[in-house]
Amino acid sequence: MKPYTRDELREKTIKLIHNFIPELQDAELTEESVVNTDTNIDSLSLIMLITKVESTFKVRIPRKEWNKISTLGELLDKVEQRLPDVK
Amino acid sequence: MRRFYSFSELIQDFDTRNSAAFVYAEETVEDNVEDSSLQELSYRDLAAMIRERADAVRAVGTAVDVVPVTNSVEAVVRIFGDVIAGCDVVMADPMIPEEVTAKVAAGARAARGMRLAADPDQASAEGEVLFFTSGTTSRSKVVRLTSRSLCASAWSGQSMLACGPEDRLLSILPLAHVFGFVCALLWGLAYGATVCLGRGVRHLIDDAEFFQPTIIPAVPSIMAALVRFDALNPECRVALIGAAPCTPAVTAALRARGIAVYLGYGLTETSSGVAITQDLDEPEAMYVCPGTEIRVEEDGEVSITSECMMAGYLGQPPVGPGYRFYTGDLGGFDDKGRLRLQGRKKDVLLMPDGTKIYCPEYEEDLARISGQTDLAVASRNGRAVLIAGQGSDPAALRQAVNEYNNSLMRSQQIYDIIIADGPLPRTVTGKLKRYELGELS
Repeated sequence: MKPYTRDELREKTIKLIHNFIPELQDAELTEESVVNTDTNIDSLSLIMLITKVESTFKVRIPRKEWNKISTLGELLDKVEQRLPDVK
Repeated sequence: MRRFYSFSELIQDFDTRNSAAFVYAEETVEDNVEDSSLQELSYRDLAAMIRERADAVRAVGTAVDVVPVTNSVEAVVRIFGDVIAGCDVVMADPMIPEEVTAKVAAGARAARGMRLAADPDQASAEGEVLFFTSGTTSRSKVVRLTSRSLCASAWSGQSMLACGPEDRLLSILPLAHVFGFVCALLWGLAYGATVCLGRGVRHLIDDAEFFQPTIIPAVPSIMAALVRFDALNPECRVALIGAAPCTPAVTAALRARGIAVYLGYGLTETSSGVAITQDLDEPEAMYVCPGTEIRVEEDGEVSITSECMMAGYLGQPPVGPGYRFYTGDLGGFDDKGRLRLQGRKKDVLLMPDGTKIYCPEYEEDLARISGQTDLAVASRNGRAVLIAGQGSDPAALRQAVNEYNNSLMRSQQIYDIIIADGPLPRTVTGKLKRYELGELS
């Protein structure tokens, strides 16, 4: 069993985005939201957001995979894959 | 002010110093900076490590070394050790695919063979340092620099903006790029500063608080983020910004914090900076560094001759003494003889993190993927956007952009798609009129 359900992961990540990027506070984000063309998060903000996500969920996403994250759902996939199983 | 002409001379000078060359710490995932413990390496110990590396390279006879360049003691020792042992170094950004660096290494070995055949005395010379001009695109060139041109660049920079043993220089720029290598490493080491090796991209914002540097070299996008997140430490006295234009809002915010802002202009081909701010009230007006002559051609293009000039591009004939490099940048001199840049002439977009986008390459690739033909790539607010002529299929473009973005560094990705009200402006021969694209959005 994972420490977070998919719904919890999504909710926490969207909250992080809303807090971290004031311009997106009112944006409606879904797992299908495309990082570049829907959210317009610049490259450095995205790096910092991934870093925040990593420290929040205590996972590490290899840097070579960062460029391949197109949607919010793909970011959640990468986090979910790395969450440790808990009993 | 001492001038060095080779890395060997510089390393010898390290033996005379008592201060720390580097402070560094491990990268952590946690936000808590207390988790990282600070370590120090003296100049003397650094010199010893470099010599040990050089001896090992000589013993094996390595001709070309592909170095995955990180901001680490190990990478720096390997680069300097290789070069003084006569080995050519390919500066490989860890994000560049291995097949690309392998191809460059093969080219470097062939070029080295031809160089030694033409002049056997070169066998005892220091190795060359090979830099990619930009990003990971298939058309990026590899520039051959020598320890002499790199040391000349550090010296000319020091002539305009001095650092010394009392300074802590923050090294968060990628050292695989020449701006980072010269301004966030070599300049500091040459003139006795302590270089604070950044803990990696996850700590871009908190490294200033952690290391408390007095000088921060950065590209505009990083400097803007440091300002935005109020992450500049009170000890910071100088911000050295280069590789791309910086917005007046960022320079004003830095100056409001009492930080002197220096904007630098240079290229990989010129071993980094050739002009820099001197009048702090007008940072965008730059003075030409010693050893460099800059001319503005009739069409406004900036051209350069410099003692920091490259030896040539890999796989192309070497450039000779007095070689004039045509930059593709537009500029002019003001009434005080200061260089003011005005934009780009060529089909290249310069992004805020210093990377470049070669527009025709993007347009060809996106046309192939999407099946749409009337396309142009342009810059809006520092980000690349795709502009398509009226009648283009938005869904096909969107799918193509998402697919294409996956192959690109984040800062080089397309951020928006704009459908124009008519066909894109072209000449009678079909060539895009890029200067008219600005009016379409």
